[in-house]
Amino acid sequence: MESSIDSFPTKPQEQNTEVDFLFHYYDQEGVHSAVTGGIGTEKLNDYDSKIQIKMALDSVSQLKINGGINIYTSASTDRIDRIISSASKEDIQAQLYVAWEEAPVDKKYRYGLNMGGATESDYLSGSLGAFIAWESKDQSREWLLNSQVFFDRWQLFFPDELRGNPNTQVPTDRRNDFQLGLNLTQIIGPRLQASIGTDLSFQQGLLSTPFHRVYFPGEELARIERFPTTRFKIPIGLRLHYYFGDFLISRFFYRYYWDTFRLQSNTFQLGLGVKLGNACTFTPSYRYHQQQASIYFAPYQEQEVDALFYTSDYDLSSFSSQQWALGFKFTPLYGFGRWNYRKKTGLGIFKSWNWRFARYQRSDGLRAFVVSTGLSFNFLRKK
Amino acid sequence: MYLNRFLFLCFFLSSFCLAAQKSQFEIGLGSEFGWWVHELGSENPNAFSDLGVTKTHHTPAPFISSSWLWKLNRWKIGPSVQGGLFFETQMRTPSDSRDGWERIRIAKRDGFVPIFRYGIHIEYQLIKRGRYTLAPAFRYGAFQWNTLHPRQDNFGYKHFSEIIFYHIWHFKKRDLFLRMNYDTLRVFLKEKNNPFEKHYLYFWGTSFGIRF
Repeated sequence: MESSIDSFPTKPQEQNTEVDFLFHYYDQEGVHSAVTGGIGTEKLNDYDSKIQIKMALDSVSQLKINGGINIYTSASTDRIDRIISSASKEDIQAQLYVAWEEAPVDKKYRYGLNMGGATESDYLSGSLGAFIAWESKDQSREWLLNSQVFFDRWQLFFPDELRGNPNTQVPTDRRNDFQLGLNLTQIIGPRLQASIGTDLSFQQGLLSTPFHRVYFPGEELARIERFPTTRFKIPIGLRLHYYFGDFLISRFFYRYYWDTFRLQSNTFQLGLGVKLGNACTFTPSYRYHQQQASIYFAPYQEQEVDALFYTSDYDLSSFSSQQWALGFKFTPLYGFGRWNYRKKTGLGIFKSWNWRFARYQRSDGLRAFVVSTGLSFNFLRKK
Repeated sequence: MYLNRFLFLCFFLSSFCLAAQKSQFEIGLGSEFGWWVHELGSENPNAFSDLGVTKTHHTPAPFISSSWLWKLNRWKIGPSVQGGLFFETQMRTPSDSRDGWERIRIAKRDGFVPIFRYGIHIEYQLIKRGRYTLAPAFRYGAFQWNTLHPRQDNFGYKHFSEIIFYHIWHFKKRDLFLRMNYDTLRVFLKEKNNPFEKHYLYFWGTSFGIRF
């Protein structure tokens, strides 16, 4: 999906087929698990693998297919029931996403459709989306409008000790998410490119997580997390790219976020793209995030007893976080290797290999480490 | 009532076939994932099932499907059938927990629930570029299954609806497709404990296949 504030939009390229393989490992530790009421381990490991295929259908349109599976083990979801190292400790998520895009020749606009789905042990999700982008006559400005709808259905797992309790109720097992994004990209001089945009989001349905516990003072038994059935989100983002020359690019990003849960945040990110020779690019980056808590959040046993909506999920608390990342991308001029196929009418190229290491740290004690790598291949058809 | 529906469907299909230009046979193989939910019912609009929800685990259901489609301009229509295996043997009641094991058997131990669907397939060719076609489709029909659910005598008419997206690549003699689908199966009950009691099955899946 073309996202308004996460990246600059690009036109379909006239390469035949690109195939990317992505692998990602995530390791997390923390002490404020929402499953156990805001206390307890948040230890989690995630192993993610994806394949992304981009193929040209003709000279103006292309198809993108993204599929992936990730397996995660979580010490906190292992505590939904009282048997440790039970089936709730591990889970598998699978997703598939297909997008079609077209950029008519000699036209100043392009458009696309997308559809996808994902499945996990406790939810099913389907999505539909579309975008259209207009370019100015001098090609210095582009408007992008995109929309996305998600239709989710939960399978309800409540904490073990609260099952069969008449107070353990939720309003629905569905959640719908409607998103509308608008982005403006402007080239300001030969070295500077700017983008400003927003991705409005309206959520409806079951917005809490059914197996999150919330403890109240004076009550031995927890309650399940409870939220309003609607939530409106407004993020606004600004992106600046400055080209110092062929060897150095700087990327600045800022986003302000507010929603009807009264969560507010500011995010700053600065990154560099440094060319080390002809075949290697080094991409360090730093990200700082500051957040003000939702009005529904309170730590363990600090909720108001008569509160209508409540959570002890520290993702909705006040905190600041930092992320440092280092990336390397190797792109030899003629690729790492080439081979012919289909009786020498086709050419395969192992085009590039990239690595990224990131360290994430939050003021409430959550820490994470991420390693990811990607391999890119091109498959060209000779005429 | 069902006879009238069937006769109307036959008439509609026959009319379409007479006007259609050519036909195509499709066969596909894939898997979907989902669950079976029995909502025991609620009279409180703010509560999802006061009396609780009996449900299976999230379960894989591999399937094989086939359709015979007649083409008229951008439309295709025809009958479809699908056979699948729902690999689950029991449902958990609302109060099922580690201390109190309360399950309902729906299939033999280490077994599955076979589900056979039949209905009508309607497809529209939305986008065609080069050898590629994007075609959304809709299927509706009835299904039969073999289950050990203790209240199966109370199960009445069973129907399904399916939203599908076809990604089709055309070759000289055949077409290959990748299909994404989202299904809802519903079981009507002859007698209900309350007006809001219902059985549903939800699935999301993908499949690959060929068209001749």
